[in-house]
Amino acid sequence: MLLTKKWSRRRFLEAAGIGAGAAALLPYIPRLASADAPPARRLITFTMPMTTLAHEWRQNGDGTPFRAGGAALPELRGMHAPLDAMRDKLVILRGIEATVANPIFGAHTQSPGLTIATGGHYSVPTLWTGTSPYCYGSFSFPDYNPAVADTHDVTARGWSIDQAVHARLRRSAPHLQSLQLDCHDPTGEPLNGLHCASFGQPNAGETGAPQLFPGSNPQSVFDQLFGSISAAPDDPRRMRRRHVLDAVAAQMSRLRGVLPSEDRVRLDQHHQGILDLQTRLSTMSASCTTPPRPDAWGLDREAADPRGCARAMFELIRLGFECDLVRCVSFLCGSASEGLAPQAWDPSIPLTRDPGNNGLHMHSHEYLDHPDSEMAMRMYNRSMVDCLADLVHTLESGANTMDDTIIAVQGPMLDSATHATRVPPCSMLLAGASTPIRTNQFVQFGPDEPEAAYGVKGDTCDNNRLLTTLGQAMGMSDMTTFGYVGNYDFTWSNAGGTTPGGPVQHAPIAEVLR
Amino acid sequence: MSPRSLVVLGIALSLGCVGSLESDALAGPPGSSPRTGGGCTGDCVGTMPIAAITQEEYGYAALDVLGVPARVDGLPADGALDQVPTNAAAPRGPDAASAYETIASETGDAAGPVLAARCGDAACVDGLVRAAGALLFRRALTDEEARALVDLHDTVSAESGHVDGLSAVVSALLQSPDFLYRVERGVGDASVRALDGNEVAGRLAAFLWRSVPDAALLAAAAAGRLESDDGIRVEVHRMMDDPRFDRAIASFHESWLSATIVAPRDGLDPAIVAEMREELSRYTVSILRSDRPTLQHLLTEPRVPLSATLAAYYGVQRPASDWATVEMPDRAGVLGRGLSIVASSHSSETRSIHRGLLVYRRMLCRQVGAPPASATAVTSAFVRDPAWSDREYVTHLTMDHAPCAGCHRSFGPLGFAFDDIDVLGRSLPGATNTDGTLDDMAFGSLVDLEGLLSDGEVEDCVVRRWLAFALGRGVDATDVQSLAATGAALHTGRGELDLRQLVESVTLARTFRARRFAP
Repeated sequence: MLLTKKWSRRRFLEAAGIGAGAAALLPYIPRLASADAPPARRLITFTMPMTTLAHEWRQNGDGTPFRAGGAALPELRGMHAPLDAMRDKLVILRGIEATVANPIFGAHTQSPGLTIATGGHYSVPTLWTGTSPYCYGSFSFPDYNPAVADTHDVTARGWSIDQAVHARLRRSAPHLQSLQLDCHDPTGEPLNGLHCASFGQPNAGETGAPQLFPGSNPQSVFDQLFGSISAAPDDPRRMRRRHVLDAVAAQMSRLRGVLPSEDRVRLDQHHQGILDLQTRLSTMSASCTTPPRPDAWGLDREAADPRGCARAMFELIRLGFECDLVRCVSFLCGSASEGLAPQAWDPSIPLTRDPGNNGLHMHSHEYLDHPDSEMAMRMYNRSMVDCLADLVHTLESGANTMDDTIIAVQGPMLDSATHATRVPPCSMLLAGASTPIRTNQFVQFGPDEPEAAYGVKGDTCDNNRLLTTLGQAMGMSDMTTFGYVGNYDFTWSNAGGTTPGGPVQHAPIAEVLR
Repeated sequence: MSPRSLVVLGIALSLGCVGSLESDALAGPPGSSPRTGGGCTGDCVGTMPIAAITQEEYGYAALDVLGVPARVDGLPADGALDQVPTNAAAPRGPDAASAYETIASETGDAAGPVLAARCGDAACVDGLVRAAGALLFRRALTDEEARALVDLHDTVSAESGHVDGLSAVVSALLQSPDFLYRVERGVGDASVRALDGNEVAGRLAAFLWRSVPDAALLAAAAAGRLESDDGIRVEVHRMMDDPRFDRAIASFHESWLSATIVAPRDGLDPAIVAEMREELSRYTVSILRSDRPTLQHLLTEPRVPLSATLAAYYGVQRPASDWATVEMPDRAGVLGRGLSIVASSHSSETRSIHRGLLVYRRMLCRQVGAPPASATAVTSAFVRDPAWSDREYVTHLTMDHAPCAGCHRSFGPLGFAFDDIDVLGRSLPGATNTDGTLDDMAFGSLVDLEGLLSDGEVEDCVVRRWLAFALGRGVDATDVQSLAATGAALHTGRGELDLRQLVESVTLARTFRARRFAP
């Protein structure tokens, strides 16, 4: 009776004086998410690009013998230090390996001394889709960013875990939206758009699949969330919108009735979106009070103050969670842009290099040679972690939606030369007490070796397993695999990837699930 | 293919410059120019699926029809093909409806009072709905459609008044798929169907005005005048004489020169970028509206419209008034304009690489592959001699050895023509070496290079760029052959490519006036 949503299993143990640390010592039983661990209600995937300072993400650098199975965390050091106060929500994962990070994408793929190519910027979609990215050469998809499309025609090939969970949740709650957010300069690298991939995008070679375009303007995101319900149900303005949508839906149906099938299918998703809006308008609770649309968030533009933008986004996430308008969010923290200076994220970072050569990307490559770049990257990475802490604090305020939320964190760049995605250096989970995540632990897979050693595949944990774990934690107990596996060791081409070896299961990480 | 192209083809193949980043089916071997025509038998019409209109078209349509601006950056993002903003490649996702609803509602709120000034009570609503609806739908509304909108007005009016009723009608019109998509069903049931008059009008307005048709264009369609070449010519001339054609000129040149988006960077004032955008627009408009609207003129004209601010920024003579012309002999021609130079300048020491690519890809339509996997390792291991200039650094880094030299020798020297201009678009003080080569021909400056570009290869490229811009998609051999089949003389008596004639000819091509459907 105590194991209700209000009294989670860990809370029960804590109340019984056993404590969170002891919870990690419960017998290890490989299993899927159990019925007595209610699923989390919300999921945020949090991506931090340019986490190149791998040594700063190492919690075991002092030789503390952490091993798989979990152990209490020591005092957090390095980049994790800002998260020390929220260790009761934290899981640090080391040895996650994105085995499908693609080796082919030009620069950033392979460094001398590494025997296995590691994927670079363009393998970022791997982290949340579990699939190799797709190089489409402008044939199949709109260029994410016309300014750089000539050289960056890469997109995700599978849908990301947040979208998969969102699609499942929508079966019983069709009013739900998903949010794809970032705060970067709008001309940044296209990988900024690759931290999320849409439902219905199982194969980028199919021209009919829609792409997700992350919102980077808090005002637009506000519109997306609240635009159609920013008034009480009997407010004339809201009633007017319902009348308008009814007319639009009727017109859409009329048109679809006369279009050839090749055109009709291209309107399917748009049509569904109109129907969803109608549902949302008619089902939203009157108790969901939303603020008026802000005319300004103190931002001239998102690029001018990405930290401020992020804070605004976090507030929107909180409001969206509290009104139950959204349960799945992807957020790209930071930027991989050549044109954005680290000072945009932290104005206190001193500028000591040529102003024309001050982009985040340059610094991330050259920190080994330039102490000022190393300092800039350390402070920039730290600002991203501060940002993550901001998110947790924001969700803890108000109705404390953090309590049943999982924030999954990944950063794709292992080191300076390779910008490897294959071994993400900063895998973490932050989870509230009413989630089935076993927190306050450090979980390591494979040997505790310097990052360069990861060029040789060891006894690591496939990133696809982490994605399956998230799916199960969100209630998708039938999820036994997610994404593709293992095409790193054969020549990959635009003809499309295959899955050598047939069907593969990606068992959830038992150490992480209660 | 020009003789120079054949030389290039041989050089590129021998150097092993491999890979392709160009998007269309016309692509020949790497390093080559695309083929123009050929390969098409039967009805030469490329494939074009139904696609959402772009943000630009939405915004101009709201302005032209309703007289109010729309907050287009809140609309779903546009895709692009070969730098042309278009949504042809991918359909709208489920979230699009929400964005469209928000912006339509906002725009409706703004338009309601404006329309109420023209239509004070319910009696005129039917006429207003039919007039505005016809423009936005690019065809006359059916009685059923008009009645539904009038009913919407009446319902909302009863709840919150006439102005709100009009706002609701506008919101519904702007969310209607008949506005958000150019619906083209064609005439008959063959796999390739001629578009009907309204559908041709829709394409003409999207191409030439980046908007929807006006009443005169729809009247021409209704009278059947858009079914003949002569009828189309009349309307195209009228539309090109209209100031709204300036939108197409500006939009085309920004996409052609990869200048739609300029990455922010330290020291680059967004206000200056906005003025550079205005400079490019005014410069290209002045050429296409001159009595010599030719490619050769576009590549050589030294008189440049400048604001006083921009003139000071460039360090040239102050104009007599804002946007009066100033002689810029060292930066004559469209390639000398600040916007495209800045957009193609990523960092100081590598600026010549991207500028070379600008000429190579965008002006010559040649292809170049992605950097090889070892490029990063080569760059990381390369040590720059402090005594080297940027040019020497780039030369040693990219053109002295394999694997980089295979491609970089093809396009790298083109970028040196811009070396006296910094990454912010300003002239560098002192003498700077701007020598380079285009294939086997030497040039000494940017102006020299533009002179070399005034040939058939660039003309072929420009034709393809305009065609892609008009169609809103990548072009293939069938499209180019369709243009050739019009038999239009594209050159002036002086042998120069007439850009206005080119625009007109594009609208006469069957690929512009027909659509291919799935069998």
